[in-house]
Amino acid sequence: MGELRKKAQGLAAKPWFRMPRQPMLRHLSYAAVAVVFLYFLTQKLSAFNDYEVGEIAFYVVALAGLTLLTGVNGQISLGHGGFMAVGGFTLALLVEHTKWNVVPELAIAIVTSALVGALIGIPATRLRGPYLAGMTLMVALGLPYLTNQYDSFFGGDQGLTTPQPIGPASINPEQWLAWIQLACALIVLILLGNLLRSRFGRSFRAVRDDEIAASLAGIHVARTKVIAFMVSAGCAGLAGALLALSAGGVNSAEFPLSISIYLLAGMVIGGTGSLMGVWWGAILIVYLPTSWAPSLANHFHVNSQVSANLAVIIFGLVLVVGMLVAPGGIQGALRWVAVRVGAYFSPDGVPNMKLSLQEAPTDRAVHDSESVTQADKPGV
Amino acid sequence: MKRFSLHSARRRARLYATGVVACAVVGTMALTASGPANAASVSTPGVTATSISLGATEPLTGVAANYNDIAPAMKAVFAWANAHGGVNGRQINLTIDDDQYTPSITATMTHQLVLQNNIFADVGSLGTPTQLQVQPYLNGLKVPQLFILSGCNCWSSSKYPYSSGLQTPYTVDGKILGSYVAKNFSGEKVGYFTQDDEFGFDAIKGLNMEIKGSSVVSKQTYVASTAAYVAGLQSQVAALQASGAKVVVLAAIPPFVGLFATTAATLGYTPQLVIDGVAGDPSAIGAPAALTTPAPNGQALLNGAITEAGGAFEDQTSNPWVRVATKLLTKYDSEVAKNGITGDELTGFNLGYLVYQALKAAGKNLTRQGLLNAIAADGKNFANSGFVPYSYSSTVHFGFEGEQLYKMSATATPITLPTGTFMGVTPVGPVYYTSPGAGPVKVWHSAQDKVPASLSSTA
Amino acid sequence: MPVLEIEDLSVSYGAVHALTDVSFTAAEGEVTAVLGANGAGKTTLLRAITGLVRPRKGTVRYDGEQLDKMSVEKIVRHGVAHVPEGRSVIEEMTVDENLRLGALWRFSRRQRGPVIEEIYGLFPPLAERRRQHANTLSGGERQMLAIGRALVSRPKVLLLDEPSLGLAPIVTARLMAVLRDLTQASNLIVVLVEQNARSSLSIAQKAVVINLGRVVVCDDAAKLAGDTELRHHYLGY
Repeated sequence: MGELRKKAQGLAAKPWFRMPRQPMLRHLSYAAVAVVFLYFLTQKLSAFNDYEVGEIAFYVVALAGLTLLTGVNGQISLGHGGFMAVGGFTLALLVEHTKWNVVPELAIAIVTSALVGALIGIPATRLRGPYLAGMTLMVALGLPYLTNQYDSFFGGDQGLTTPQPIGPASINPEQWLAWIQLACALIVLILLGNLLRSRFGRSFRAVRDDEIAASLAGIHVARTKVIAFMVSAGCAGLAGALLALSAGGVNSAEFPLSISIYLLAGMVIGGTGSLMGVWWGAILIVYLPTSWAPSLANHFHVNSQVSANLAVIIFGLVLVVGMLVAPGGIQGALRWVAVRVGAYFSPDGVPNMKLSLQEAPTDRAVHDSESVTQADKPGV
Repeated sequence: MKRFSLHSARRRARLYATGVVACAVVGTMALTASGPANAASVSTPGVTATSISLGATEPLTGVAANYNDIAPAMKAVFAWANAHGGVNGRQINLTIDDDQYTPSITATMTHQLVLQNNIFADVGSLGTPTQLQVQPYLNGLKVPQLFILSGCNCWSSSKYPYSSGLQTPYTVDGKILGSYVAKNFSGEKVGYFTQDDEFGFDAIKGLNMEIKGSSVVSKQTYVASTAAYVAGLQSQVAALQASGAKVVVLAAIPPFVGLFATTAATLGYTPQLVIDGVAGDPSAIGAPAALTTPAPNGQALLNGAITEAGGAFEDQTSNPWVRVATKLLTKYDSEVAKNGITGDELTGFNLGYLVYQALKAAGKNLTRQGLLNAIAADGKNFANSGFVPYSYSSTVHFGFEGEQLYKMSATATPITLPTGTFMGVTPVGPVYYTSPGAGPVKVWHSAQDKVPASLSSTA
Repeated sequence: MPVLEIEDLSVSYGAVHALTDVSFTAAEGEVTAVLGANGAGKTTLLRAITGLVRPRKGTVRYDGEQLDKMSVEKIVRHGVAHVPEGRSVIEEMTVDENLRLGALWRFSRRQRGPVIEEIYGLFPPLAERRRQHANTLSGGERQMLAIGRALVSRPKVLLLDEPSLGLAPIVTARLMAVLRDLTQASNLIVVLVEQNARSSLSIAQKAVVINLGRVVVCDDAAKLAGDTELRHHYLGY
């Protein structure tokens, strides 16, 4: 054991590979690894599992947008199901009235929902906490309902059809759709990853942490909040459009309030503010209600009323317990473990925090953290 | 600290970009080379020489779990058919998935049925929002989505030819009740109490075709949720009372009809109730059998309420369909064997027998299009336990389009079930039928279908 | 020569009059010390200048432009920097990110680096902690960071609210020295709100004493420091 540790420390001291420092390059290399992994995954899986992977992908898109809004910018939203509806219906209307390719249709779905996001985001800048939650809740309830009011345009109860895109004949349609959805998810993650490392990301966080300090630093607080809302709603719109492709159509019943609630729970459990954590949240949203909860219920022979609500109950329990033991969600917990493991193998036995976080280590990192408690050094 | 120069950073960016593109290209090439050959089999999905696989998504648990005995009754009919040689030599396998009455779960379960269970058709799935969710998907793949248990107008359209409904459309319900109100309570002030979704909207459409707009003085709605039930109907009932409505038409699910009746009783409001067939069974509302003195809240109101049903009640044991269904299900459905038959199980029995007849009519060479053709050509002649024949044709995809009016009555023979004794019903007037579109409500004169000998002799 | 001009400024919180008819001017290259007891309205004065509270009446002008109708960001972008009380820094961000934040609107990405290095030159302890999160800094370092973030946008007016609060006397003295040098070197208009009258008067050219929301004295700092009676009465030393 000791020898292994020594060997590992030797390796750790001289990293054979270091992730590039530039955000764009780093994110692209993550994505490249993901592309290879997901390609082989979708090849191995059955058509139905490919469909589920596609579902995970569009929930990743929605969760990434939500985590940007809530985790990074500090605005809560219970209305993302509504923005998904906007995206879904936009795509469906384009399918109905144009002969375009799916890519521009998805792009317009993003733009439309981002614009609706701005409409909601502008009054939202004056609200916070429960009031903001209440207002966004109205979006989740109201927007799908609107489609019922103008039923000749939105197709009434039946809604509108969005035929599944068909790829080359050699690829089965579920796999093709999963690729489209996964590609969207990876692109969104790369772009949001870069956004977070840019001036916008810094402004988003500054506004979340201290609005007054942010405005005194010359940041336009209201505009920053609206931009965050637009980006987030745009992501939700894309997710809704991708959901429509999976479902083959859109109608008002497709975006119930529960989607918005699941998104919020998935985001918190995955790790609020973490773009990697959204994968955990999405996996949970897809598998918990349809697969895990029913098999649990079967296994323990619980009564029918409980079993139908089991998914919600588990979501709630995990949410509460998770907040107590792992406030950073699953991703936060993994990071915690990684740091501890890293400490075990690192040469001086001190957690090499920086390596696991975003920044490359500096030589003085450890020394600095020890000197925090010292009196101010003369220097001025 | 070493920093990238702008130049080398750009070079690296190019390197990475090349890497990513290369990965993608290699991936695509590998795929086109070794892509899974799409098994474009000539045979029909879900059909072999000896079997047919069918699927259904049902609310086995959750808010609509009270309907969870319909699908097992359908399955019991298939067990009967399989025990007697199957359909054209094929055994029917039915997979029932629980969708908890949640559209997103319905989507996943339906994909699973199609992609993994490789079903030939989706039959007798329940729920308007849930089935709307998968209607485009199933139609897109040309998978029949037959005999949906919902009265939405949406199941009969040229846009989705692979869908069809079984239940009487809510608009037909509304027209038949509306014509009764117009005839028997003309000149009275009328109020509506409807569910705030397509059930209510479609019912109002029908009511408005028959009842003069000027006599409708108040339209109240409720949301079908646990929260709304807990919050109560105080404001809606009070508004109807204040409007002076002497007749209230309810298009509501059973728990809300019960809540409406008790709320009205506590407010001292006693209008004539006219209740959509969705809540046409006093046992589903939980109305007690007989008036006691003093009358419990709400009971007096339900006594005398007009309602409707498409077929005989389960306690009408003189009805040959009820007799044969009870006999068959007692043998093949463990729930019925244990607790006796309910109205839902009668529905499931009728549904299963409909699927059986349709498959049989489609013939030995079973295809999806062939099944649809058989229903369009022959559906009107399929025997059923309702009071009117099926309406199926190449253009109409509704099952029943007729109702018998009933009066809930404390003096009628009570309905006795394992769960209790409930208020009985007596038929009122003839059987009516109509279509959801324009056109009058007409009287249906013919008698109920006879039970086919092949069924009664083997059940 | 551009000046910061405050005229008849009145601010109320509901029925409470926090400031009543406050007028004074602050000139370039000078430190104007605003003195007064706790609750006299000093913090409200600074908040009104940067638009964090809206005056009930009166005007704030800088370089001929009326600031009191502008939004906070706009006032900041007109060159008015405000370091609020309590060393307001963004705790979840590193020292470097905090400074970059202050420079965001003013400088392009490429310009930001050198400008921030200047701040590190001014406050060397910050340079050593540039990658640490702001919540790991000591009180003095936080104050340096807050001032650094205000200075990084190269403001023309600097408003400081109790910068010495809770700092060791030696740190305060050092801070004041930096402020004095900076004011003269960059021709800044500095408005320094302090309870610690002795240290602020030591670097101020002008002094404004506020009592119960009204200006009671507006004079040369040296003169005020020399007037024992006034000092006793309003400043308590």
